[in-house]
Amino acid sequence: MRKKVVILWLASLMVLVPIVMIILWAVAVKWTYPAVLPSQYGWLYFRRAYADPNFWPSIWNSTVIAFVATVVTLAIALPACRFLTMQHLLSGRLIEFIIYLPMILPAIAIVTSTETEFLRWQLSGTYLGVVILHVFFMLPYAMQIMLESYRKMGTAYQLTAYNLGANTWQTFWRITVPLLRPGLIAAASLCYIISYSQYLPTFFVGDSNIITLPLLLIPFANNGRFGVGSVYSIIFIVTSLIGVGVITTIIGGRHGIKRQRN
Amino acid sequence: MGLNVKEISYRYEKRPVVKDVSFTVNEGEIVTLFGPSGAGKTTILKMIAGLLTPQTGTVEFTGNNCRANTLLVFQDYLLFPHMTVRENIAFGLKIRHVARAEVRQRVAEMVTEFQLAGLEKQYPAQLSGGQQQRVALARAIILRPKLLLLDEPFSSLDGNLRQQMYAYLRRLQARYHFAVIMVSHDQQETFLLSDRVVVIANHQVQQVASPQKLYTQPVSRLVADLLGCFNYLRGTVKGTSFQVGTSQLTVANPDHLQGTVELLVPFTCKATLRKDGDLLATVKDVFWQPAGPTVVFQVDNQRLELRQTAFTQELAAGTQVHLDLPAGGRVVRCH
Repeated sequence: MRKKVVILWLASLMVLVPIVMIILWAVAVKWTYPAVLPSQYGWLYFRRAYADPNFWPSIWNSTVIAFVATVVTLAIALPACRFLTMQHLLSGRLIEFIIYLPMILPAIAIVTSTETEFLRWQLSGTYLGVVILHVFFMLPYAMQIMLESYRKMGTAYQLTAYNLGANTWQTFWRITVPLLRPGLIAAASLCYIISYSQYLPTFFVGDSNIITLPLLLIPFANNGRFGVGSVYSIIFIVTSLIGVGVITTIIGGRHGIKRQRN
Repeated sequence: MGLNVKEISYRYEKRPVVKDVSFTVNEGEIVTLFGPSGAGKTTILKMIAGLLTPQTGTVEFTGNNCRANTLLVFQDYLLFPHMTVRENIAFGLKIRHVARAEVRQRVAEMVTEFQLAGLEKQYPAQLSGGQQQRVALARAIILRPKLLLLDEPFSSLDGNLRQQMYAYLRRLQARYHFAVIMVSHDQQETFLLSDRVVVIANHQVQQVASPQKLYTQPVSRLVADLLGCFNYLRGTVKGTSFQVGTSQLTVANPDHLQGTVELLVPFTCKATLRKDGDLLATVKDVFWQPAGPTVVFQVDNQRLELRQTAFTQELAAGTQVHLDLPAGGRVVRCH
């Protein structure tokens, strides 16, 4: 019991310390050695961040791209997982290997080679190009979660619904989606956050045309300008949580996650 | 109106699951597919319900019966976990876009019929096994099926509840006039509920008969084994005369067997003791039972167990007696 409490404290410390640091950095106007805490607080960095012409566009871009990419990822992952759980041709291990391929291959190689192709197809610098690449990196996660959900669900409930007279469409909306809802919510939230935090793909394929929050944030962090960087980090955390909340509510619909008491 | 199953077969990865199965079901009949697990009974139900397509043969609905009027209740009920009892029962009507008022009225009728009052807003996970089964039945019967397919409907219920559900099924069937095809591996349940029994083993139909006929005239040792309520006495037969040890019995021999055969002696056959009885037997063991003692005899070095006996004299182990078995026992080929 004691051991559990200690681990819990350690875990919350590891999560909280960086967040507290970010908040301190964001509001510390003057914080020099050897002071333990900032000697002067203020909204200076918030004003600087807000003054950036890309402030609103970056939030907007991040949100739209993450939202669209999440929908597209689920639209691909759902039927794909359905097919993979129904078929008996490929072994489970092979499927898993294929799903994990995008994660095994080095991202930088994929991103740069994709960019050269996208340049040729005139997809570079477009939202479509960015979304495609985001989806590519999100799919393994979504597939893994949805595959497990599908396997757990089986096909018996669908057969029952069909036997009671439901057609394919009714079975999908009334049985499959509600039963997959916990998995769908997990997959969508994860996808949203993954898309939201992508840097490399947006940087290359976006062609400095499409600015997202990570694109604004990372140069500040790299240059040691922690003040503005921290402000962007806070905005990043808050807006991504709002996005996840919205997407969860949409999937939850009228029948929220609370109704699943099984 | 009814059902005509004609020589349906199904293979799964080259392994036969169902081989040339044929039988019919008449209006309002309870037919049991009886046999060991893995014999393909559930697959037959699925083919009748249209969830699987037979690879050969046909399933014909006759009269004004049709597949839409055929509902399957699965062994593990499969209540939709995200719906309440009421929503589960109403599911079939809702997807048929039945008017709300009618749905409400018919659900209320089912709730009363199945004694589910007060549980309408509960989720399946909160119900007991018996309640879940009643919801599963209500969900099907609300659609007024002509044919109900029940896959091992009572296998997960305990003894008392089972007895209640048997009576229940009978009553429902009398009230709503549907035929039933039930899958079971329980001999008692099969005898109690069925109008006719289709015995299935090794993926094939072994015998189709009424329970009485099945009990008195099983066609083979295999069927007798499945029923599990017989002694087998090995002896030699000539015409209708059967010899075991030094004793002679008169038997039924419709297949005109010759030589070494086995006589089927039901555990509960009404044997009597008589000084000049046909069968010389030694008492090995006596077990008291409420319905009459179970006595184990030895006949020509073979075991003969009689249950629910009503002998005029009390037997003790070691006694030698002359037994008189009812004439006309059936002989079958040796195993």
